[in-house]
Amino acid sequence: MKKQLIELRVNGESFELAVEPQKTLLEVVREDLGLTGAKEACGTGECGACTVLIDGKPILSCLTLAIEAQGKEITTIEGLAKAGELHPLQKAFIRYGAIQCGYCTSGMILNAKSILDENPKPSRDEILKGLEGNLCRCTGYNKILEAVMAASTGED
Amino acid sequence: MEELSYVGKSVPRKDGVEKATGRALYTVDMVLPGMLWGKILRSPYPHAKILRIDASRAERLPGVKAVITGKDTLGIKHGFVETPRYPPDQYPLAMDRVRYIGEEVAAVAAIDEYVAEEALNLIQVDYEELPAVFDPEEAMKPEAPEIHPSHPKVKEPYKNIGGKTESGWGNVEKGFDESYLVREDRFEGQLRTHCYMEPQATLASFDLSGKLNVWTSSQGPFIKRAKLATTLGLPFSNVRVLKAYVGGAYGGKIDLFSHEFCASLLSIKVQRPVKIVCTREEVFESARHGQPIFVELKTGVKKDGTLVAQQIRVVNNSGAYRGSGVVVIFLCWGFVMLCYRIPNLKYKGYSIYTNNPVRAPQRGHGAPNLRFAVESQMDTMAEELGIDPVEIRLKNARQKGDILPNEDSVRNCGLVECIERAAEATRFKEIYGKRKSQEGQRIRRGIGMGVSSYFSGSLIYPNTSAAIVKLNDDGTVSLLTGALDIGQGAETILCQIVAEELGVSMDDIRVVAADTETTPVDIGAWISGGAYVSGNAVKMAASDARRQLFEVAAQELEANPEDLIAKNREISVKGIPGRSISFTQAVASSISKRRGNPIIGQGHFRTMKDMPAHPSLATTKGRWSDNYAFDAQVAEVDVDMETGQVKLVKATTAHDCGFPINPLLVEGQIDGQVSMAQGHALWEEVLMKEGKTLTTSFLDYKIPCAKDLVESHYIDVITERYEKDTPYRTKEVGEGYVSGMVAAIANAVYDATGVRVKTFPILPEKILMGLKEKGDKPR
Amino acid sequence: MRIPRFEYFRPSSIDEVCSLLYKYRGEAKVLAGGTDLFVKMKKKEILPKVVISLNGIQKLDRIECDEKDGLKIGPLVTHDAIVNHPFVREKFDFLSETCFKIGTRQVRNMGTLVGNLCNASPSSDASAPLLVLETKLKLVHLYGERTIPLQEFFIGPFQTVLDPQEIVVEVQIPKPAPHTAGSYQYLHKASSVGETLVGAAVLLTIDPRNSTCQEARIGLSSVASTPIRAKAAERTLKGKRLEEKIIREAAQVAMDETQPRSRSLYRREMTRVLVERAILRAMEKIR
Repeated sequence: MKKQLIELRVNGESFELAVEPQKTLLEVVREDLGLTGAKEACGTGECGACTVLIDGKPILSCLTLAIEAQGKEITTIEGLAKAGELHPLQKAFIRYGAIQCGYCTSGMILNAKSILDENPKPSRDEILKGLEGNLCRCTGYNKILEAVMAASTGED
Repeated sequence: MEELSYVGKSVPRKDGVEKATGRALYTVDMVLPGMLWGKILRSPYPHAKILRIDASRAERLPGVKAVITGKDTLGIKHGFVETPRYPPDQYPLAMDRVRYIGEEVAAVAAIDEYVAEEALNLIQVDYEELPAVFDPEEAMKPEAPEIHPSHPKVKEPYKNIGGKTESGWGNVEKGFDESYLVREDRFEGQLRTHCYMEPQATLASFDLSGKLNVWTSSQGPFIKRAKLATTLGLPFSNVRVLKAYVGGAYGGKIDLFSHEFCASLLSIKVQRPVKIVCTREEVFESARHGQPIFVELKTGVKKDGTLVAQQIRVVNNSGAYRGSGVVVIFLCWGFVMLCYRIPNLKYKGYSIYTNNPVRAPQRGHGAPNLRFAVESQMDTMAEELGIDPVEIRLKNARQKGDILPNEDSVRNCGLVECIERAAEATRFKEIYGKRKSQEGQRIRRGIGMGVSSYFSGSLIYPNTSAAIVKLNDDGTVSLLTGALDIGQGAETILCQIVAEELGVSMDDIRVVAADTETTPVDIGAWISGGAYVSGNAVKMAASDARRQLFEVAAQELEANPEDLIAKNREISVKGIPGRSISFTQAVASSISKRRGNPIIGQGHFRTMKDMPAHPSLATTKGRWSDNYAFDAQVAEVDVDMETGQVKLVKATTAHDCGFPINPLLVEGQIDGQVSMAQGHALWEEVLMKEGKTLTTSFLDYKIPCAKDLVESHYIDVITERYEKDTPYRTKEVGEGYVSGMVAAIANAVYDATGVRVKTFPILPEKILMGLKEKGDKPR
Repeated sequence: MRIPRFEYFRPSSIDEVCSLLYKYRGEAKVLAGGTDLFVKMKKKEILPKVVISLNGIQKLDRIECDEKDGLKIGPLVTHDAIVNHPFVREKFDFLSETCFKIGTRQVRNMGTLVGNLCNASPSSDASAPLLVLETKLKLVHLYGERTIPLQEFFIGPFQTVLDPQEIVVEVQIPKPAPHTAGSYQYLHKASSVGETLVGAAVLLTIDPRNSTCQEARIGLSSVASTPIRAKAAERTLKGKRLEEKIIREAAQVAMDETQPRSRSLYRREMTRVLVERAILRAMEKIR
């Protein structure tokens, strides 16, 4: 199948890429754009490690075709920190010990961001329900919850 | 403890920013110019002879650069354990026989994964199927098919014995005769798996100078180097295993994996980098799972609950090769004798070959199954005797200063305090035993306690850790350590030690880690010695650097080295403000006035200094560890009596880790282990049918998600201290808290329902079945 | 895991989709959210030569509603859209609740209701509420269309009556009668997410004048080879006052209508428990 020329907007920048139709957004972001923050931990939509934001909504990039992500604003973890300043969620994750091996972190932070963007003061249950699609084997989610709650209160 | 600035503080992780911004590079993220993709061909049969492999069509496929099979290797075996008694038994690529579904038979390197996969389909393998056996008790029978000859030193009429451990003292028969109450039970642990988020992956690059560079998702580069070099026939110095960030391991990434070997050999063959990334399906089907163990436990106690005698038989299903099976049956003995004083003991453990994928350690490595058995039985006997669970444990718990049967000392044992404080903090005695008063309720609360212990560092290759602390011209510090951070925070705590010893800030220290060529040797992150062994090596190196700095500074400042203090990259004289020099000045002075010595501190540390090696796996003789961590954990559960569903509501961990170097990191370890215990006790199970793994995705094998979060409480029982100028004794925190918690959960379920489930996982239907047998009705 | 190669089309009308489906007869699959399609392709369970994306066609993500005709849901409507749609939340609240349970936040943003139904998993959560709502599906192909009840749509595990050349363009849910409410009760297989072990949806219409049950519908998922209606149990309730004894009886009858293929004893028992709970909850909502 021939490659097609597509244009993707990632973290506010436009990229022109030649991709085969079956290439997922995850593969293109990682292998063509060198943005390796989004990870594959399962490849079949159960773990959330590949989560990126498309027009602010969290989606699974391992099940999204790159060719179908045109015309949308894609945000990866690399796009969160602005001008060297970490996003409040990134700061909170570090401060509260919400990171151990770090493999689930990119997807977790992006999904958490989308939760807070929708609802700046979510309840504990709303956060946990929102993050149910991001698996973490290291932390038990305790410090992750603390970090998201801290970020939601505007603590810096 | 004197006032410390960094050790004992919840300093944020050193690698936090990298991980939070997506910049940390894991093996799966790495690319090299000219890189090829590799894939592995695996056996579809659980037991078969390989008659013939024809890879010619695969080799001719455009885009394929190399194909390897067993005949391309040196035929050198490897194994988790490599001792005279237990020599290595596994080829990195199958030679003439396959013994489990998924065993590696061939590997391909190609320009992309599509071509590599197509090539696998073109490799023709002719197998002759052999009879297979999957259950360990079946495999032991004389009529069972032979997977490997039984161990020659085991003189019992069983087949497929990979190894045996036998140990004991006193006279158990007499002990049982003298006991007031004797119980015999069988407890079964299920097959569970690690589910690290980063799949197994390796990038190998062989260059024309004869040097093999390897990045791999592991738990320690030095053991990987040794096994790769040996199986590839290369000198150790020609194999460099470099640091990659690791996305979790929990015991599943320790010994040599075929894909690591294959990526390396393929790279050697084509002289280009080769990367192999296992799919999650591959990981579920053919990577190493945990050891499923059943325990037959016979215990005798006095009327007041004091233990008199214990007889244990453990059978482990190690899979098709020995793996760590012969280690776990030794460890199970340890996990029985560590927590309670047992006057008479008889222990037998067998590790049995079956035609299943090879099993490996999984967080706790036998302790969860053992403590589940012992603690469940303790509660049962306590109830029969009319004693409460806290009381019976206090009666039998190890005390400070006890000498263990293997002559190790538990001089710093905090178990009694752990039990007391856990019971107090959870109001255990108030909540326990309220089954009758909850009759008629649909949701019932139960509370249970589990006690466990874990060793902190023992001897196994490479047996020692070393470190280098270099001062730079600007006064910053470089720490060179072979320690690998697999998420537990190794780099962070080692930096805290350097910061403490040298009086510099965490930001002043750059860590260079886990590179077999440039960093000194390290025991690795799998023998529970990170804080104790690697930490003390770094402490020694840092204090060596400080000593050298102070010698120079003493001259410059005309003071005694004992009167100097280091802080903020400056050395000053105690009590005399204004008299100081900076690290920069001291280093420059050292170079100019001390024959060019730029100040490099060295340190090393070995646990069990007076022992030549680890204890005998077969007889348990020999001292095992300098240091044992203890814990008492309490679980509170809510059980829906109509559906049998169990919710772990609250977990309390009273732990004696010596002292926490970084309390925040320790809490994280506790939380993670509580979460693993929850999955282990309540849902997780790898289902297999005749050697074929049925649960091959996260949909089939459930691990806890955010909604399963358990309220987690921590009680630190401090039994050690950190002092300058002497090695410190801190203990492990990474493995021991799964076992106490699974036992506590099982006991809590009994407290709520009156149903004693003796097999993991405690599925809802097991509870409902138990209730039915008792004639209990929810309403 | 890589998705196997395919030829990709992104038509701009349903007619074009039908033409392509006709042209590639049996070798083409339709792409909406991709959460089922690409998983199956990665696992090599299906290997279509052609993938036809619906995502270039306008207006397929519409939820249309009116007081007279009920709800019309297009093929690109995601579960998230259904969860958050104000009319759905108000008039079909237990459908909204059910969709909130499905998958995860990410999957709900991508996966479509129609896609879920076409996947026809025996444990599909959405199916049970839709069955009790007497949902119909509108199917079109190049030469015609048909509208069939959802009841007749499922024929086996992951099997529907959908012809390879057909596509579902609309989910039609009639407006429930007054004094009607529904509830969906479920148990997971393990942990808090993932496949449903047993799902029970109950829709009740209760006459306020004499408190008798005018209409009772019970839908069950994950207890047979397809989602089913427990018709015998429904008959037990219809026309009666819903006292404890009747409810227990209905739950028992529902249990006997199940044919679970694994963990049968537990699933049957849980059917009984959940149907009871769903009936009680629906009754509460009507009050």
